[in-house]
Amino acid sequence: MSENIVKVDSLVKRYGENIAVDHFSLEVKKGEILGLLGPNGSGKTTTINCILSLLNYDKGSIEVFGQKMSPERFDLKRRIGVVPQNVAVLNALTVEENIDFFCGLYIKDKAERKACIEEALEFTGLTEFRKQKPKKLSGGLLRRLNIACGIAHKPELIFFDEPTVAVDPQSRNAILEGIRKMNEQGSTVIYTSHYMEEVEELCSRIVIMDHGKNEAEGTSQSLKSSLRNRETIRINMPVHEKELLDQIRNINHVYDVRIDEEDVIIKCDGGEHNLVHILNFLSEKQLPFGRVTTELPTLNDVFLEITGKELRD
Amino acid sequence: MFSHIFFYQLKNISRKFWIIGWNLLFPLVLATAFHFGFGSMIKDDPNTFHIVPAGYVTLGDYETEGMQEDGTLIHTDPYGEMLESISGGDEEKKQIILLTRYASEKEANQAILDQEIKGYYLNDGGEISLKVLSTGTDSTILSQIMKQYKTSRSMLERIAKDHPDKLSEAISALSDQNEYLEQHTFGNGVSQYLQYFFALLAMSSLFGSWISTEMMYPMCANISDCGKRFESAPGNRIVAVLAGTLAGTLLQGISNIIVVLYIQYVLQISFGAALVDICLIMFLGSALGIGFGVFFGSVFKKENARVMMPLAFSMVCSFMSGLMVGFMKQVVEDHVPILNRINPASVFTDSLYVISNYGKTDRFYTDVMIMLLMIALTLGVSACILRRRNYASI
Repeated sequence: MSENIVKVDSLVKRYGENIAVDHFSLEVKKGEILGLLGPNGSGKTTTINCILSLLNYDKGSIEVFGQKMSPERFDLKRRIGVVPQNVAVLNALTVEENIDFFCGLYIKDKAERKACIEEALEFTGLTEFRKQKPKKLSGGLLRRLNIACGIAHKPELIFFDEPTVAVDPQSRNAILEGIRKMNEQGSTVIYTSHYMEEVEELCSRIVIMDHGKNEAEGTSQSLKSSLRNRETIRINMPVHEKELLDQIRNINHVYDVRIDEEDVIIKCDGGEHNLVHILNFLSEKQLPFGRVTTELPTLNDVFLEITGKELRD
Repeated sequence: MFSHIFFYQLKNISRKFWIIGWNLLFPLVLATAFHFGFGSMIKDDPNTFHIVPAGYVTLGDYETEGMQEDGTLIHTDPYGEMLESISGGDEEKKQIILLTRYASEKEANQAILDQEIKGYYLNDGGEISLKVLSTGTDSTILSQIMKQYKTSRSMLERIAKDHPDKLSEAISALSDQNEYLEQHTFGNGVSQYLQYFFALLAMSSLFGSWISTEMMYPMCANISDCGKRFESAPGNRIVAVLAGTLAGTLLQGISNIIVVLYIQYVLQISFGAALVDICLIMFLGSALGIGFGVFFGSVFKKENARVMMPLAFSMVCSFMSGLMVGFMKQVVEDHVPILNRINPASVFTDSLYVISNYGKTDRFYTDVMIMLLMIALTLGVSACILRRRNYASI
């Protein structure tokens, strides 16, 4: 069994009366890309800040690389990289100077640092912008600079806090490719995002957090299979009698039938060949129907199922 | 880590145009404006000895020293006698005032208004006070004469009471009063208008507090995202702030020295002291401004407070030290003297005033010590706040 890189046990963080993190536990294994999902205000960033020892907490324990984390554990901090949610660079310095400034906090040796900077510039595709100041960079390039500043010192554990916000698809793809590459080179990654498809594509394991709690945890597949809805079938048909809908509801594995304008939406909770069974039923009844589509559940469905559909602040 | 942060803070701060504007260009512009306003008065002001016309009014009885054989009281006026001894305008004899006696306060007041005298002493049965119309070198001279007399008299009275055997030694020690007055009143006779330039340099130094709040910005997790990244890295927070403080002091010091050189060599206004000493005071003033800025930066989290506090602090302190109204410092000295001892701008301007006029006297070293104490205090308190700070929220 691979070692724990991060272990959070029953973490509690309060802001006055409000509980931001409520007995949250988490284990991140070496070599994982862990996706931390949750709506706004669910406690993701607070948890990361606690792990990084930027914030004190009320209860619980945090271990990083198997050792208790604290603000003075420079030996542990040296092995961690952070890519914050907002672009965190110095506007008066150039791209290269920014990377050097933050890298220099981890690596003293100038020659070693220079090599790291070159690698980070190349990795993030910023080589040709090295002499430019952040204000001259586009949103995507800024995000890449934000990443370069966090990874130049080649950390073993990297926190990415929504690194692809406001980034065009090309830049997003490059960022995700880069993260995957870093992971292949041995870095463990904790990744937070609101983009479900990104997390699904990138992360080997996912934790869904809400109201400061660990609400669900597992691989993308295991989370999806935890849903009751395994298949959604949408059939365009003109007949919408209640009696007919009740008959469809009685087909094996169908648990919900609803009408959406011209379509009938049928939800199944498992089984195989559900579409065939339903279409056979419609043929038997000689009911006309048009376009038929079928959808498997997505991570987004899992997320909404767990966190609810009401709007958050 | 120290040199790394020092180097990058130098780059970071020196590339901010608004800092260059406020901390260097603005003082240069203001100095130029002062030059056009009263530069000629400074240059015309003779840097030589001059006599101060002063009045003297006695009210009530003179002091009683004893009784004659026939029973009549012997009245003496030691203050009047002392004033007479330094009156006349004989440089050889160190006569520094031209004394005129007036029968009443009304007459003396009229003489001031007619500009016949710069001020007058009022002796009310031994209680001596000074009335002047405006502050400046002349009023300082008159004030110092009175202060010296009061100090000497009080000392002699105490010695006569406690150690009568040592009275003659004490009198001998204080006998060369004129020498003292020469040292503590005339100095180099530097123009009173130079005070405005001193206050300007004080303001410029205190503007250094902006540099430090700017320097703290990328290093504190509760202020900026950069700070979060910075504090996630391994490194001692105090060492980092200290490196930034030194970088800020160096930049502000250089900026101040440029202003000093501009005043001295471009505007042709002499400070009346060795340039190297003036430069050292500039660095001390810069460290003072930076120290207060670090303090503000460690206490205030909100962006507005971090901008407004240094500005308000610099302007209020500079105002109290006479930047906008020349006699303000004297008004404070007359009514709340302690303010002049704790106002960094006043202490700074006083150190410049003293070194320009009298050289490195005890008063100068006291000013330097107060400034060093303020720097140590602001940085010490900030270090305590920063070291203990374990963020509850960011």
